[in-house]
Amino acid sequence: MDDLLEQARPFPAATLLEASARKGALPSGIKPVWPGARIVGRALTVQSPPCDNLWLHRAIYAARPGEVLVVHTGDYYEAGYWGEIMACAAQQRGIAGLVIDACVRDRDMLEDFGFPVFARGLCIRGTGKDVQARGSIAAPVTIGGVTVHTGDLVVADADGVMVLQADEVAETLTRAQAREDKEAGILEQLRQGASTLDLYNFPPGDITRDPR
Amino acid sequence: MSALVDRLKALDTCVVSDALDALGLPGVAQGLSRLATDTKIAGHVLTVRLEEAKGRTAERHLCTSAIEAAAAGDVIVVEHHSRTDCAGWGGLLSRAASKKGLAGTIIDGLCRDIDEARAFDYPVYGRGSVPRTARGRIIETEFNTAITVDGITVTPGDLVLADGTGIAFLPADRADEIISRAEQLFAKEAAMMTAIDAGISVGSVMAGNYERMLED
Repeated sequence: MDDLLEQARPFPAATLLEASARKGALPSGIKPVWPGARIVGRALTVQSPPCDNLWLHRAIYAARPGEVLVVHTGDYYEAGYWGEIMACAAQQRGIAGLVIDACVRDRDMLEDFGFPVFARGLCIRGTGKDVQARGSIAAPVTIGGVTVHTGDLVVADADGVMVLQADEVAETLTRAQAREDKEAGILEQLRQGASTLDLYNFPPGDITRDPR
Repeated sequence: MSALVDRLKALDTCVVSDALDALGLPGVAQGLSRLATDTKIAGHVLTVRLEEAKGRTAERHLCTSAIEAAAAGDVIVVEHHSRTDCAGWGGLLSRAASKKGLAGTIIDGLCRDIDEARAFDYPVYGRGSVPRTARGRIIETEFNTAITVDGITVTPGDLVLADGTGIAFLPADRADEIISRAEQLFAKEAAMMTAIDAGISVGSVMAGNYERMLED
């Protein structure tokens, strides 16, 4: 039982970013491919050759149940690296989801299966399967300047994808809880009529609407 | 490019080396220098290991997988065991890497086609150059695994800074700390430069506090 993972489950990705010294957010272009998709799991990192998905097939069988495949493709986005068949295979293996710095396809089937995928977008064009192309499984990958290690904690929701370094998860979750508690209090005060300018001590400036 | 890479690129290898010293970390590769272009490079690392062929032939030409896997701004680092008999990087690789916008290549050994790397404006760092081909002599045995450069372990995703003085590697999980420390030293040195420009004698500017500046 991964206690930290269970503790992380309720937190929004954005709260975790704010609680982690604002590092670990993958590029904003990587988004859920179907509404409501959400992933919480440990990363298994994959370096795929561009426009080729053989290493993704291999990664499905290298993954442990509950892991999330986090895939870099050498910045080649114009291909659908993942679809219905692979989602089905991954679900059979208990894989929690896919985060890929590239495109996927078969969007509707991914949603029907309930297999969460976060990607740059959708692309109909397929990939090749070059048996000699070299990739890697479980070596660190760097996506948008964020280096992801196998075992890092991935939390992905409608806002995007957050990756917490394995050794910083506990500390970040403590700060995230404090932040959620504080925000709950602020929401309550706003509903009672308080202003954000007062609550955060922002300088009010000139907020008159009169034309000069 | 990431914020960390931007911050690293604003520094130089000397202050990063000083920060590594202050933190008691290794990371400065000795004996490698700039071979092509006058460009300082900083980026995340992809790794390649080369080994003696010993009759083996490789499925893929060495270093091509790393170029394909890299993102713009990344640095390819090649373990070539300080060999002096053949090149582990060449002109076609420089061309492909330049076309993809990679930051540069660092090889713990020799490369060839150095004039081409200069013509393509592609930064290459290493121990020197030699025309002899890798064919039949060496092959790529590993890609994106931990490698060794001058005794320093370099892992994919680590950061590296290379400039006219040398090369410094920063482990990914300590990079923020090392860069923050280097930024403090950089600010101190900038103040000392200003003092020299203002006419204060270099002897007094670089007096006792220079020797102790790594301590606090």
